[in-house]
Amino acid sequence: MKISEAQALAEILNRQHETLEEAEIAELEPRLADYARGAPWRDDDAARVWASPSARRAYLGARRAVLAELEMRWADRRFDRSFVRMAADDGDPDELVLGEAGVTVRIVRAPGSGDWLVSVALSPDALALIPAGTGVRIADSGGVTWLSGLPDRDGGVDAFWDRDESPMTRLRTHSLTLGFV
Amino acid sequence: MGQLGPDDRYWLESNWTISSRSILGIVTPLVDEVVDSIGRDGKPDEALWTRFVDRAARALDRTRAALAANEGRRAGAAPPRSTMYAAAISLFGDAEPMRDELVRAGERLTGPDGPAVVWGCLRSGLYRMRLRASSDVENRAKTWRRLQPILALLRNEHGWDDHRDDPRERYSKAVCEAVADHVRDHFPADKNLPREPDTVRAYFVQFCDDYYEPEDVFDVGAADVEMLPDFQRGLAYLNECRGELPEPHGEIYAVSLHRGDTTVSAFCLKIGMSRRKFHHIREKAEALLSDCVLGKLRARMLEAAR
Repeated sequence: MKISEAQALAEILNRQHETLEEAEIAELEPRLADYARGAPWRDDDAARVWASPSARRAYLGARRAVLAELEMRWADRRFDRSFVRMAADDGDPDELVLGEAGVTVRIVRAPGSGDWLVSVALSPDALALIPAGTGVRIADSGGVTWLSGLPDRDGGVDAFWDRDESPMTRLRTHSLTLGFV
Repeated sequence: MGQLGPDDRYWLESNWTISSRSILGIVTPLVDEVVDSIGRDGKPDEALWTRFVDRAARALDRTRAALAANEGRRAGAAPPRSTMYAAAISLFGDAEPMRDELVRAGERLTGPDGPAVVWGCLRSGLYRMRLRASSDVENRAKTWRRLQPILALLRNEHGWDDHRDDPRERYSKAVCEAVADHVRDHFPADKNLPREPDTVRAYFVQFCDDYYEPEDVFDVGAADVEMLPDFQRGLAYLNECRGELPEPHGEIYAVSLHRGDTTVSAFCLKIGMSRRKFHHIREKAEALLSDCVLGKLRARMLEAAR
């Protein structure tokens, strides 16, 4: 399996040494908690999070807590987060729609080019739960990200499938999960 | 240190993640001479080691004094940060675990992954220093001896092999959980034996020479990186730097992104390169790429701060 660019970047970041002083990190931490809750980023602080393992760790910890809370609210409303291609969806169709409650994932082959498009559509109720600045991510059980991005105002996120293997083939052996980023 | 005071406990036990990060941030830049010495001779020059410990203690004390000059103490509030550095200075009274970790890593300290290895050694060493400072070693040794037959039984049941297994497996979360479960099931009234996975892990850390703290404490994965602001800029830096890799490093790095499949073997066979040479070049490529990406990120931070 070829690892993703995000994984390659993660491996590089894990070699990074601390670049900020203790006092700088302490001063930054309250703002990182605000960013985790959706406050707009200051350019210099965004750059610090990439350049400092400690700042990054503090931000990701706060961000994970916010996303865990969102996942709880999502579960309370019984919105879908897992999507599986049913055995009955046999063959190699040009279109497949998965999910019902709150979110649908549509995989469709574009006529002409043959490219596959992956789309997520959130219902208005589901979209209303997602704080500003929070994106959705669809990944499969093999660790491949299918789509990641901020929903538009209608609750839509689209991405082209960029792997050699057909998404329909991959769905025979992998399930999809919706997460938040 | 023996008995810890409340401030020491606050920093060295309840808030260890913050404390270790802060302490390592100060002492890591001071260890280069020791690392070079171990890389050259297999062990540190004694004068250089003493100088490192002394400089570390003085640097920690400077930070402590600077903080203490500007902080008060309110009743019921957390201890002031200067007390964290006071506790850290005490730890450096017995820095042998840190020295042992560095010596054990040997030439890996100066290899392609040197900075990460050095960081890991200092972190594990500091963790052991903290345990030595805060534990009643004699009683814990008795408990450790009592854990041995339990570990032997579980090894037998699960087919673990101490001589074959990677240390990551030997001291994994699954092993710690299995031991804690066994203690709770078979010794429900015995409060001396560890009953939680983290407590079991602390025994491995203290008594197993080849234990090291799992790397994931500070590491990020792909999903974490995607949560960072301006993720696309990070990817752009990665791709710019990949474009700057000389050949064959660029091609070999591209091939190395295939994990756990036959692409690497097929590539080596196709171009007649040994796997040893492939991995040698891959390590170099990864080091060049890291330097490039991390350099760009640092330059970006400095530019944005202006």
